[in-house]
Amino acid sequence: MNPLCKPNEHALSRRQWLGGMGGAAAAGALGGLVSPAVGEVLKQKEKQVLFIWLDGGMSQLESWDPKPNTQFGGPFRSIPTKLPGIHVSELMPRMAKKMDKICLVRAMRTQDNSHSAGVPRIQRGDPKNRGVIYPYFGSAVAQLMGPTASGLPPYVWVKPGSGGFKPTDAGFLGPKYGALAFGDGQPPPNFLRPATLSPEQDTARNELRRAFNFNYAQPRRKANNEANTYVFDTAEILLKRREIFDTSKYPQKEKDRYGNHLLGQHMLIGRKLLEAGCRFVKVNSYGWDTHGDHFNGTVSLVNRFDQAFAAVLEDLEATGQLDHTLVIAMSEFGRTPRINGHAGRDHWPEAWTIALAGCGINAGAVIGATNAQGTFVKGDEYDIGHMFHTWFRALGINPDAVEFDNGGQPLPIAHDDMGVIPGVLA
Amino acid sequence: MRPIIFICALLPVLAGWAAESLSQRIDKLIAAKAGRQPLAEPASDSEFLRRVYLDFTGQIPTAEGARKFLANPSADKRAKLIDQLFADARWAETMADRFHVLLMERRGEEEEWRKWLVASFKANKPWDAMAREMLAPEGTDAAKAGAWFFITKRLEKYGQNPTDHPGLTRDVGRMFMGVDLQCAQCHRHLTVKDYKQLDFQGLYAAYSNLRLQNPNDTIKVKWAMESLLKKEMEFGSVFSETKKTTGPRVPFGVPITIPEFKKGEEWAVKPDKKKGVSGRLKFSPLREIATRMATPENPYFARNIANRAWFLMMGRGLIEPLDLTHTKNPPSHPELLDLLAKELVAHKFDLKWLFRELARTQTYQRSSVLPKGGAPEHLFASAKERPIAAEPLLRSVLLATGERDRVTKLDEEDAHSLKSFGDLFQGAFANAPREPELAVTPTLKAALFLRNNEALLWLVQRREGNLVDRLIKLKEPAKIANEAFLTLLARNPSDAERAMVKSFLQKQPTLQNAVGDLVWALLSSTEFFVNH
Amino acid sequence: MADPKKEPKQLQVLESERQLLCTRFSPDGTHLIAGGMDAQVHRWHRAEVAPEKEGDEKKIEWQPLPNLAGHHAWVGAMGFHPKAKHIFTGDSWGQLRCTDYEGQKLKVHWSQKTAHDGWLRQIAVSKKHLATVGRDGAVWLWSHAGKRIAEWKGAEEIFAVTFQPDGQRVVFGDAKGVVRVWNFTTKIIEREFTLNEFYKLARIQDVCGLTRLVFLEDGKTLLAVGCAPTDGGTMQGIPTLDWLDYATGKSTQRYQFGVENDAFITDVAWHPKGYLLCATSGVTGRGTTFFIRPGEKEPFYSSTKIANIHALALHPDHQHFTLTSTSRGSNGNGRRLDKEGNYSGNTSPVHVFELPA
Repeated sequence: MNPLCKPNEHALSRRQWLGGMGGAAAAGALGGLVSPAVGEVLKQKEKQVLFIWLDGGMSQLESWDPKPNTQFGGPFRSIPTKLPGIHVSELMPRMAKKMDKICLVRAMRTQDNSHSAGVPRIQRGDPKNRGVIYPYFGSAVAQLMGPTASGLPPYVWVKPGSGGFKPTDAGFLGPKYGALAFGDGQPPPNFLRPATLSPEQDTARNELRRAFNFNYAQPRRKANNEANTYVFDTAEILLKRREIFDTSKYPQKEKDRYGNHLLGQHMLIGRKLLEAGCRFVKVNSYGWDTHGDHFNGTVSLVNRFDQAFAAVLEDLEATGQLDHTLVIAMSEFGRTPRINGHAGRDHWPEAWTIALAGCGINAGAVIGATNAQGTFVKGDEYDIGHMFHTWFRALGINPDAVEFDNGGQPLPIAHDDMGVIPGVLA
Repeated sequence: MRPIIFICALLPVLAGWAAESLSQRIDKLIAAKAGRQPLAEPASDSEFLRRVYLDFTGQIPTAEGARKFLANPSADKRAKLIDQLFADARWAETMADRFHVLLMERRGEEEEWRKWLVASFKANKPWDAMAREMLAPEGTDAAKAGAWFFITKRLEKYGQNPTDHPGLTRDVGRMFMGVDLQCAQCHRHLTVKDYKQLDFQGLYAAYSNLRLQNPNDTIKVKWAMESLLKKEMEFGSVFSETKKTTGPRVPFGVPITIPEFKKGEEWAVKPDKKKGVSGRLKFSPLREIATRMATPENPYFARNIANRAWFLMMGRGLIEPLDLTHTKNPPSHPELLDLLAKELVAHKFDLKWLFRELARTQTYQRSSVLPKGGAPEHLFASAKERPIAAEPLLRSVLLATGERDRVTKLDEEDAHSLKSFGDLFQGAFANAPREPELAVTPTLKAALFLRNNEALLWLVQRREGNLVDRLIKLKEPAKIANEAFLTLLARNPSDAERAMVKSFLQKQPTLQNAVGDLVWALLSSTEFFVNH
Repeated sequence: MADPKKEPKQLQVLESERQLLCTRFSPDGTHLIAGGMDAQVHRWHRAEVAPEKEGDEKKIEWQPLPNLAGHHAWVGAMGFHPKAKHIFTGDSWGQLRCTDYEGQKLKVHWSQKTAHDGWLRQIAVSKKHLATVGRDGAVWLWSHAGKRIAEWKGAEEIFAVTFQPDGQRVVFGDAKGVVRVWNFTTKIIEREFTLNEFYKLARIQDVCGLTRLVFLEDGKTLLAVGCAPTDGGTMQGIPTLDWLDYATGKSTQRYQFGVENDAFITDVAWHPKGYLLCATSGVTGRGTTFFIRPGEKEPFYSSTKIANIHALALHPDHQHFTLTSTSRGSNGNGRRLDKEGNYSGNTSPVHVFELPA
């Protein structure tokens, strides 16, 4: 067991007063908001999450669970990995060498085979229907754990396309736990200080604002001003870390290692955001819904994922951050073993794989299996609810003891009939 | 039925309360419950002035108005101001704004809806009548057609979701009875014993029966066609196999029997899509629900609006959350809520009267400065800071910065037009669709907007006749401080604040920038951002 | 087009248990050979069967022969020996093999287990040589006896290969639509031209549209066949034919057929009467067979009766052709079981047609 990943004693008490006071307010009261040194979070070893979302559905057969030379196995070979007896697709040469760093769960069986319902259903952990909209995992972590000592927004999302504030992820937790999305890796609107305003002037006017606020808030209830202070300070902290979003300044070598493509560059930004101290970083890739020409498409898709994933794991490991960062790589489902008439694979929630690494995870374990044809799970099957239990435990949160508070209605944070997947946790 | 209720309402009169106004009785009940808890001081004139202006005119007072009010020595100036503001044309507009946000929860805007809200408050239409017009809209009456928006906006599809009839049903329960029955849609409510699946399904039988229609010759707004309901709706719990049925039914009420008609005789006016005739059912579940729900006989109805009015004035409901009324979640002040509901019924759901009574209370007029040792929120021992919605915030910012007239005259496409600012403020300060705006919630997007948005910063640049210009011309730091505070915060600065301003202005390289930054710092302050 | 006189006549449907990829007739016209997704070489031979009624003409039927095993994964590349009754086959694990195509039993003449590192995409045959291309970015020149002669290596996957009609150059096209002319004697790339419309980067996916390079009889026109991709994921694109002036690499005529989800022209055959037989496969379950003459704007025949065609083979008699399609209803999300409760795969019915006189 990793000594850094014992359940965090502070998690519960922090959560309690987050619940009592409203997250933003409480977050502001966490203190430590004054310009955190780089690596502050590293030093504190606060638990973080890197959530890699391959939207549309990555094929398990062309990645983590190959069935070469079988009816549905497709054209590719499998290759041996660092783990004796474990093979992955030949499209993942880099991850094959890092299999001892990750844990595969090859026995996922989930409930939904459509994107529109499947994506939110999976990211919300598919709990029992209680007539409420559950938060995405990122929002749940943001609410349960709050921001790290860095003060940076707790749930950020690096994605192609539009950015901004995405409140809907938060479900009943309310918009303040939504995601701050860096669309095309770019920061949100109004992120940069206008050129007309010098840094000195900005500092001075904010000092004055703080002084006014202090006078105002001192005899009153603290929460609102603390929340206001927190969001203003967060804006400033983000501004101080603006170099994260200026990829033109990144060393070319580093960019090449992650891959000169959207996923590679976004993964690199994601790593910088983790280093800067964001609690939960989601890195998103789109275009995995390969109903047509799947095998040709998969060559570049999986290869580029392999490159970016291996690079980020390598870096997180090198800095020691992997020890306190839970890494998850997944889609909303896998793809059908059956190959359709347009050389594609369709949606397949019946038997697919999720890859995990880092904090609390049993590195080098391969949990569960599919049958020889790769069509169905052989032995115990796991749903996304099991996965949520496992993730929360890895982060030191006990889903059997901790609940959401939905305006007085207590709600379980993970499916109440499910539990941890045996063997996944260190 | 109404006379009986009226007599009930008169009972306290017999008990010797005749001489006391509702506002006085409210304060007594609040004080009684507070017991030994010390109460906050009365709000200062500035606090009071800013509060009533925001609440009843939808913007902060002008510097001139503040100056006059603060200088006015008369003892009854607060009562007079309340009367003056309640007579102001802006009162109806402001109520329309507030009820729009409350009822529509940022789903969007519509001109006819807004007209209907303003007209209703202007005419002081009783709340039960307003509610009936929303619950069972009469599309053919142009004066009432705007009320369709409550239903039709909720029938619009968004994203990839199917038409949200359950959501509409839920909101009818929430907004008009203070009960959120959503969790009882598929089975009995797991945490609220009072809410049965039947309570949701009875309402759903009426509101799931609607199909969204486009405007036509007779109905100038989007409207919904009510289909013929021939038999009771079947439903079953996901927990059990047994099936039950229900006709339309107000939650916790008696089922309404569905009458039988001979085939072809169900319609008083037959619908004709080609001619744009919406038709009129002889038996309309919507009308049945509306007449049974929005009446004094339905105790939930009066209590809900009393609680919501209290919430709008005090920042916290007597029942919290506002839509979880049930026996295990009693009001913080049960007698008070009973009193408000009964009096409202006795006054025929006259909201203007109720809001005026609430405005007159000491409870409303208390300071947000806490008494020594603090005060728990639910005792209403001090005023609670409330959010200022995006629209009144924009009006206040434009008024204070002295840019309102300029901005109003600009073309819509201009980056500094009223429309551009409207969009920017909505984007920065309004919640996402379907998210209620109930409490002060500073957000990162708002902070980024205030800190860095170029249009916002444009407002604090010197321009002929604007606030910054006016302040610069005053030259002396003390005068600048006085005028800035009065304009933005409706109060005079303290000595300490004057000293802060002075030292700030002196340290900055140019007075022009420094004054702009001073205005910005006040504009971005917590004090400006909340209704305290 | 509904004129029955112009409509090809369907003679037979050949069933297979699995999905098939490339399909070709042997040069002597006696055999029909197909590579499968089951690592097998599937075969049918031409047989004359007695007429049902006396006096009728003898009927020609294609009858199955045992599959040839020994490959791995997908057998997608194929070529015939110019003289002997041998076939060269290549699979997606990189194996290249020369076997007899006739007879009941497998007879291997030679085999190269790792001719390429991974997917061997196409085989071209000249009088003296054969050329292979693959996912490893390599082009190999071989003797008919399986001896490696020369190699060219690039960074991109190579999809299409052919010989210049005189057999002196290998012409091949890669994933990005770059066509190269390789003098294998001097080992020099003599010319290079890029067909931009056959490639698109969609998000992080290289969407590659080039399926075949074919010289027309005159030897002056090189036909680039495939798809102009418009999106990845569920791949979208417009079936495209590009007539290139081989001397300059310039396009003389571009023909685009159908809409974005028609995707690929998967296979073509040149008919000596001066037209091109083409087959397409698109999403979802789309496919067209069409015949077009160079220089004309519209095909003179087209039919959507058979969908998702992955191979088109023209018999050496120039009167018969086959379409290798996919079983109907081949796509669908989630668990779908047959009557016995089995999860079964798709198959590739091979439709045998006779061209109108």
